[in-house]
Amino acid sequence: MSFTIAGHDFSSRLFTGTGKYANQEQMIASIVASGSDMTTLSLRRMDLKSGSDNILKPLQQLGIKLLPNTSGARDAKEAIYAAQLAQEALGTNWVKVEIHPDPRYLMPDPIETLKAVEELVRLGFVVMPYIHADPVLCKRLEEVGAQCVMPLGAPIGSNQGLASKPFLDIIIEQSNVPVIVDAGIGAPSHAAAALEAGADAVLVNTAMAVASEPETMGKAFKLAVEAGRMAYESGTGQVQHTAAASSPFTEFLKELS
Amino acid sequence: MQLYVNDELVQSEHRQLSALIDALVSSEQRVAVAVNQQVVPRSQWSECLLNDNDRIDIFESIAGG
Repeated sequence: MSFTIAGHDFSSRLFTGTGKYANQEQMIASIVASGSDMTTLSLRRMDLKSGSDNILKPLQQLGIKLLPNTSGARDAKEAIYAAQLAQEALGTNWVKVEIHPDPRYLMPDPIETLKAVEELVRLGFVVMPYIHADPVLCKRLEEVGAQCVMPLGAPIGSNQGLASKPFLDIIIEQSNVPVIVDAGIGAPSHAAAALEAGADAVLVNTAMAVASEPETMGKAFKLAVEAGRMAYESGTGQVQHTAAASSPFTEFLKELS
Repeated sequence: MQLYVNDELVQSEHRQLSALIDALVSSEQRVAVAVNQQVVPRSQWSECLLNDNDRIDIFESIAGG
């Protein structure tokens, strides 16, 4: 069931995020229950007076792979700067590129993202770009060396599920790099649907973090992702407009008359 | 010497970047540092000499999706 990004094997197809949890204990419990082996972090300038919440230590103790994001970057230049800072702060050359200048919908800027990815690949980063579900952009990112693509299901934190499903299907069909559906996944059923459709993985944060029971929700997502992948590998049946009997009941009725 | 650390004006006698960071950040904390928006790798902190009005930015990891 494992899959690979840039030569790194992942045993779980569920990536997680560390944002929005009520406290660190819930965050750790939820991530552990989810079975996820990579989780995202952000960077910010330290508040030198109030000190820090030191989120790193408990995550490092888990042994989970850390994926810094460039959240807050408004253009390619800021994203590259954020990636270089993250490399220093976390000692990793992996980065999730997120460039969303508009705070209302947090739509990723495709032009700045393409520029940033091209430069970061040249600098030796493993780049995971967060993008709109745009099949053409996915191919362009692949061409400049993105090691995977992360199209959105719906706006970040919106819990709308796979609103972009027809375009995700095209991306999955065409992609030569892993496709990770990121953003908008609000329930385990959405995650299962993404995996059933052939997505390689999903990234879930809000839906786990804001659940009343984040630990149990983490487990629910784990099971959903496993079920979705199993269904994909088993081959789901074709959708048809008309009925197709699964029991030969017409024979039975004939015998009665 | 006056410096801007995370946008705040700071009077400092620390000429070496490493000394300034030691004074401001606990040694356990993993941070990233930029001087005038150029990232300075940890291995170069002690060689990096600060000048009047330099802008030093210190970053840390926080929760995020």
